[in-house]
Amino acid sequence: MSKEAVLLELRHVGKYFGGLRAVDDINIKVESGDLHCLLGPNGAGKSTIFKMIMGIYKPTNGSVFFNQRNVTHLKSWDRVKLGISIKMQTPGVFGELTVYENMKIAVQHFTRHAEVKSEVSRLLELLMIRDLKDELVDNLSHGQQQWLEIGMALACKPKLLLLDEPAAGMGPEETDRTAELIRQLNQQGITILFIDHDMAFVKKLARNTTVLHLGRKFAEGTVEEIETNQQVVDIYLGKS
Amino acid sequence: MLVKLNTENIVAVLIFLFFFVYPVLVDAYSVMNLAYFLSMVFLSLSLSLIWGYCGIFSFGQAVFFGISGYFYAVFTLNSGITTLTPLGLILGVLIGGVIAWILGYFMFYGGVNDVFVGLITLCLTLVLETFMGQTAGDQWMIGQVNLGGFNGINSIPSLQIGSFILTGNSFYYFVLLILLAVFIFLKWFEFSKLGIAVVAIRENRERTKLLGYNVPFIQSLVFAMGGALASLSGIFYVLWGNYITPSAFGLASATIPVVLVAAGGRKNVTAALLFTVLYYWFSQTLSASGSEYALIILGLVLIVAILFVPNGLIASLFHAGDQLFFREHSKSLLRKKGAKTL
Repeated sequence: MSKEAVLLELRHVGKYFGGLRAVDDINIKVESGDLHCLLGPNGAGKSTIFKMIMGIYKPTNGSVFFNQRNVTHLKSWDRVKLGISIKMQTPGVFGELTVYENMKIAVQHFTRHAEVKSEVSRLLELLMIRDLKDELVDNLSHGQQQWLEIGMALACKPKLLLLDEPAAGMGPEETDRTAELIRQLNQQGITILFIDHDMAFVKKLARNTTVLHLGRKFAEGTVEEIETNQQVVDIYLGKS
Repeated sequence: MLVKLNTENIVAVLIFLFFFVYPVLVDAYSVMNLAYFLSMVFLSLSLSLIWGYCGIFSFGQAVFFGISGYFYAVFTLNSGITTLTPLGLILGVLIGGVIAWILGYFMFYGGVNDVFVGLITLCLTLVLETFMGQTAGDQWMIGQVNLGGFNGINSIPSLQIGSFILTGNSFYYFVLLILLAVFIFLKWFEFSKLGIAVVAIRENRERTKLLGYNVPFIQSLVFAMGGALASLSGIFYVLWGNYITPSAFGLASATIPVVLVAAGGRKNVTAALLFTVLYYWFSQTLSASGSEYALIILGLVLIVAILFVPNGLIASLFHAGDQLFFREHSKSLLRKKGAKTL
């Protein structure tokens, strides 16, 4: 992996909440163009890592580098401007506004005024929820809200897209559609780091995987390598 | 942006038409009464802007109201040049805005939000009331002006533009025109790029940060705008009565705008305007038998509003009117303007 190709790097990153080491001495490199998965059981520290990448949590120690730049002390909004965008685990959409209004809030900040409408339309088309544009977001299904939030993250024109459990709570058909969408975004050149613990979903998508356990990096490699790693199988996949 | 035909806008047009012809219909005393009510509307609008639009709950609008009122008094009395009174008004509004910006900067960049903003601003109001209350005595002179303790400052000059002194009807129309300008600005602001970001902050602050918005900056900016509006209210109050006392910072000054805006409809500037005027009119009407009755009734209205119409009495009436007359069924906070005009 050449140094230039590394888009995101966590160096010895840790986050302690009092005596609890939620994340401890994590080193992760995500290559530009990668489709990388953070895998691990509940409480492994996956979402905490995402929050440190976004600047929601400040690491207790270690540094976060984006595009070779140390962003550890940057505010969330500055990181978004640099090209990091996130879809959180629980949908962070504006429930009392329409789909269009939600998208407009996201799009208007990164798009020239005259192009806002066409950009919103383009993204809604991409997400296949254009028909819902006048619908109140509270009336959407969970899956549709997740797609909308992915759309809002895309409106920030990210280089790196963080997706925290993008298919959580979705049925098989919606999950397939989400996987297809993520693959499509990655092919368009967006580096994607996502969290999931559905191994079937991860296998469909990820090229590289980092397995976390109890806040520490447990293993890393391609999906095939992870699948055949006996220790991972033991601690995570629940096979004896 | 085309003005949308709905109950609120029709009511707003009717209210302003009524205000414009009001001096023709009534005596000079009633005109000055309405000028006072309209002066207090700016205070409600300032809260509507920061709380209704942006979700910043503040008891501190009385701070800017009082500070700017006192500033105008001290500035104009010290200058002794009546033609400088417009400068006093402009500087007073700017100072209110700047103080609000500084206070907002430390709160919002320091991560203080929600109920804690209410607590800090309430404390500040009461501290200033106590401080100003003890400023009796010659040691509390600013230039030639004695701050006057509980008695406050009297004989503050009216606004004079060139050789024209604004009193009576001319003062009324001056306040009305500024109110109309502020009102139109706020209606425009609601659907401007910044206004939409402000609504997003109210609905979900953390999410808005993750969409690339510098939330503390926008909060500070809106808080400063609210401070400037409250300052305008304070200076108009001074111009109306030609006096100011520390009660400008009192508990009633701090809380009544909150109650008015909450009961009328905090997310709706027309509702805040209408309810404020109605309250002060009602309060004046009852003043012969003790204005406390108005406060009791206001309290009851607030309880009813919170229990049954949390979006505010007037705002809910507007909504019902829209459903009845305009078949508008959207519950969107931006009232479905989104798809077409946003």
